[in-house]
Amino acid sequence: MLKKISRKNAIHVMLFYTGGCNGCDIEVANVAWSPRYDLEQYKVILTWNPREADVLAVTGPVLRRTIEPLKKLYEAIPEPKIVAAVGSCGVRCGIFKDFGGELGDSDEVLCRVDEVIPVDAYIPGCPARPEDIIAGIAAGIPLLLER
Amino acid sequence: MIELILATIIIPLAALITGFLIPGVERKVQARIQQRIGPPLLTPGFWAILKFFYKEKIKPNSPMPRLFHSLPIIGIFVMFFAVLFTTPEWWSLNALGTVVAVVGLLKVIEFLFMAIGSFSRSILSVSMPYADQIKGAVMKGDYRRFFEQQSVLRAFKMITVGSFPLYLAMFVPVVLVKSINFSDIVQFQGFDASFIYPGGLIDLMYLEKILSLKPILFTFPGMLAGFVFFVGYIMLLNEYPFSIEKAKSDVIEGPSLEYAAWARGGYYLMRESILFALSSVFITMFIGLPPTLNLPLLLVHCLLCLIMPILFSIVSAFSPIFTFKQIYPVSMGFTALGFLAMIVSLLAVM
Amino acid sequence: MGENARKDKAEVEVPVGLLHPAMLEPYRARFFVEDEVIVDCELTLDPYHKGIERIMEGMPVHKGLIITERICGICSHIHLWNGTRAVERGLKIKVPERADYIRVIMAELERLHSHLIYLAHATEVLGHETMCMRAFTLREDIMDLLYIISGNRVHYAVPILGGVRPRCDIDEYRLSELETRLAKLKIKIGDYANRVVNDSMIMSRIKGSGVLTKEEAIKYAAPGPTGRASGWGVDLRKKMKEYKNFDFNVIVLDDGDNKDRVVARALESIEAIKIIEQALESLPEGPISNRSFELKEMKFSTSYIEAPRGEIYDSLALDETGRIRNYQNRTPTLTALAAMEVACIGDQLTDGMLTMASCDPCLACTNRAIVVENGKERIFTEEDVKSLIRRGL
Ligand code: SF4
Repeated sequence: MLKKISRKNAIHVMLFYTGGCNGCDIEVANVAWSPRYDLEQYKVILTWNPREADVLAVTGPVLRRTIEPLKKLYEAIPEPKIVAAVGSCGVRCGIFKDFGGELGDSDEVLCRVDEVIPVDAYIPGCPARPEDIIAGIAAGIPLLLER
Repeated sequence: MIELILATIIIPLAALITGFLIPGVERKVQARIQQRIGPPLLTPGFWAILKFFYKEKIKPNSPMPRLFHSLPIIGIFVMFFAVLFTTPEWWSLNALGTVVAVVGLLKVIEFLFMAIGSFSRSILSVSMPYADQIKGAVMKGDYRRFFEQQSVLRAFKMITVGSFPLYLAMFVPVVLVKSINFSDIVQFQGFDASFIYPGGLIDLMYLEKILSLKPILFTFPGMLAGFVFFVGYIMLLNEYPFSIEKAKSDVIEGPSLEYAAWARGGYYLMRESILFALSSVFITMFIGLPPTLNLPLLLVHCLLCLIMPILFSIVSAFSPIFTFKQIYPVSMGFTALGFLAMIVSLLAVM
Repeated sequence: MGENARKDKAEVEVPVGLLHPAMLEPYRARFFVEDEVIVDCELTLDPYHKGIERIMEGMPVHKGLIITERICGICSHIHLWNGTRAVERGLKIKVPERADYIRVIMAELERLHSHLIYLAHATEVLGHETMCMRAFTLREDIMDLLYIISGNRVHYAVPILGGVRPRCDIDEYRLSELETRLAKLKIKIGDYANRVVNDSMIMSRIKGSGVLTKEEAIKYAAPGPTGRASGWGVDLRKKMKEYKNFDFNVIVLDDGDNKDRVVARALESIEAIKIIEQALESLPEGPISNRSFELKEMKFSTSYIEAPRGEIYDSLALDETGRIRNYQNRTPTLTALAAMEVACIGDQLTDGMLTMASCDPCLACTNRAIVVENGKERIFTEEDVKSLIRRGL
C-alpha cells in the first residue's frame, strides 16, 4: 500500500542517448527543463544517475558503441525499473535501418532497443512530442507499481 | 530523567518531520522562481525516500560496501545529537550542551562526505565500458580518477576554506555571552525556565513570551554573524553556489553516486537532518529559542527552521556553481566579515 | 597535438562521459588534470557513428534527402537545405524566389532555436537552472512557430528539390503569427541576454575561461559563432545568394572566451530575428516550387552553408536514375570541439566542461568518420582532421 503510494509519488527518469539524431533527446530534456511542460509537477524528476532511476528513457537505435554501456546502465538500475523507448528510432530503429539503400544497412546500427533490454513503453514519433513523452512515462507507471 | 528520555524521542521525531518537508519547500520555492509549478511538497523529501526503501537492495560498487552503507546512518545520528545537545533537557549532561560539542559534530559531518566519496566507485566515469584508451593519446595519466575521488579532493579543500565562516559566526554569540554553554546563550536572550514547562498546552502566553525574547540576531554583531552563518551554512551543505563538491556539470552527484535503494534514502535523510540541525542550531543561538519538550514552542522552532532553507533556495536559484577560483575569495571575504563580527562583539562586551 | 606547450605526462586522468548531464550527447572526454587544473584534454567522438553515408548510397534522391535531415535533430532544416542545394546546384534547377525566402525564414528560425538551446545548455552547465529554464521558455515560442509553419517540432522537411513543400507556404495566418510573436521575442531575448551579461556571479564564471585565440581558431578551423567569438569573422551567409537581399551584421567579438561565445549567440539571435522580419516584409509573391526539372546524371556537386553552429559541407553525385552516389557531409562540431580541446587547457575542471559545452557541440551529426584500415578501425587524429580540412576547404 505505502509502497504503491510512494512509487506513484516520486519517479526518477534517466535518459540515455544510444544514437538517434538528437531530436528526441532534446525533446526529453525539454520536457524536464522547459517550464511549459515541467515534468516535476507530475512528480517525475530527471536524474543522471542510474542508481537513482526508476525509468530509463532510451532514444535511438542501439549502435555498436553504445550497446555495452546500455547493458551496463540497465544492470546498474535497481529493481523495479521500466524502460521507455522514445521516438521511432527507439521503437524500431527509425530511418536508420531497413530503409533500402543499395549497400543495405550500416554495420554500426545494430538493433532495436528491445532486442537488448526489455522495453515496457514505446513512445513513437519522429521526434516524439513532449505530450507523448509524458503520456508514455505515465503509461508505464502501473507496471512500476506492480513489480 | 523521564524528560531526558522523552526529549530524546520527541525532538528527533520533530526534526525528522520537518526534515521531510525541507527539500519539498526548497524545490517549490525554486520552481516558483523558475515560473513553473514544481513538485508537490512531500515528493522530494518524503515519498522519494520512502520509494528508495522499497527498491531492490543491491551491492554497491565499493571496496567496503558495508561501511559505505553505514555512513549515512552515522551522519543521521550525529546530526540528531547535535540537535539534542541544544535542548534544555540535555543541558544537565553538562559538558555536552556547549557550542564546542556541536562544532565537533559538524566536523564529523564534513569528514563523512570525504569518507563516502572515497568508498564509492561509480559506473559513470572510469568503469564505463567504452574503449577510449586504445586511441593512443600522446598524453598519459598516471592514474585514472573516479568522479567521487575528484569530489573527495574538493571536499577536503572545502573543509579547509569553506568552514571558517560558519565556525567564526558560531563563536560570536559565545563572545557576547562569555560562555560556551547553550544554557547561558539562550538565557542571555531572555529564555528562562518558565518557557519549559508552563501549565496549559495552548496558551497565547507563548506568543508573548516568544516576542519578549531579545535575539542576538537583532544586535549589530549578531546580524553580521547571522549573515556569515548563513553563507557558511550553504558552504557546509554544498548547495549552490558552493556545490563544487557535487557540481552537476562535472562530478554529477559527487560522493553519493553509488548509493542505491535504502542507502540512497538514508543519504537523503542525512542531508535533511543536516539541513534541520544547522538551522536549529542557528535558531537556538541567534534567536534564543531552543527545541524543547513544550510542543507549541517546538512547533514554532520547527517553523523557524524552515526559514533558512527557504532563503538559501532563493539564493541558489539565482546563482551558478562557483569553482575554487571564486570560492577562495568569497570564503576569504566572509571570513573577514566573521572576524569583523567577532571584533565588534568583543568591543560590545568590553 | 605536439606543441611545446603541451606536456606529455599528467598526474591524473579524469574520464568523463558517455552519460553525463553536461554533455547530453554521448562522447568521451579524457581530462588530464593536475589537482583541478586541466593540462590536456582528449576527446573521443565516435559513439554516435551510424554510417549515414553508407545508408544513403544508391538511394533515390528524394528519399535520401530525408535522411540528411535526420543527421541532426537540432539543425535539421539546414542539413536538408544544404543537401537539396547541392543537388539544385548540380542540376541547375532554378528555385523560385519565394521558396528561397521561406527557406531563409526557416533557417533563421532554426538558428534562433538552436542558439536558445545553446544558451539553455550553457547556463545549465554553469549550474544556473533558472536561466536554463528561462531560455527553454523562450525557445518554446519558436518551437510553436516552427510547428505552425511545418507541422512538426523538429524535422520540418520544408525544402524539396526545386522549392519548398506546399504545406509550408507562408499564408496570411502564419505571416501575422510570425510577425507578432517575433516582435515580442526580440525584446525577450534582449532582456535575457542583458540579464546574463549583468549578472556578476555568472560573469565571474564565464569571463576569461576557455580562451580560444584568433590564431588557434583559424588553425583549428573553429567554425561559425565559435570562430566569430574569437575574432575570426567568417560568415558564409554573406556570400550566399539567398541572403543577398537581407541586411544584417556579422557578430564578431574579440575575447574568445566563454562569455564571448555566449554573447555572440545572443546577439546573433537578434540578428536572426531581423533577417526574418525583413524577409516577411518583402516576401515576394509567386510560385513556391519549380517542378520542371528532370533527374539525370550529375557530376559531383558541393554546397556550403552557414548552419547555426558553423559551416556544413555536403557533396554528392547522382547517377542516371537519380540515385545518390558518394554522399559526403562535414559538420561544424568536429572542428569546433577540436578547438575546444585546446581552449580548455589551463582552466579548472568545471570550467573545462563549460568550455566543451560552449562551442555548442552536436554529436549526432559529427560521428560519421571512422576509417577502416587493414580491418582495424582507426579514429581520425587531429592531424588527419587537419589535412582533411585542408583538402576539403
Ligand atoms: S525518432 Fe526521429 S527525431 Fe527521434 S532520434 Fe530518431 S530520427 Fe531523431
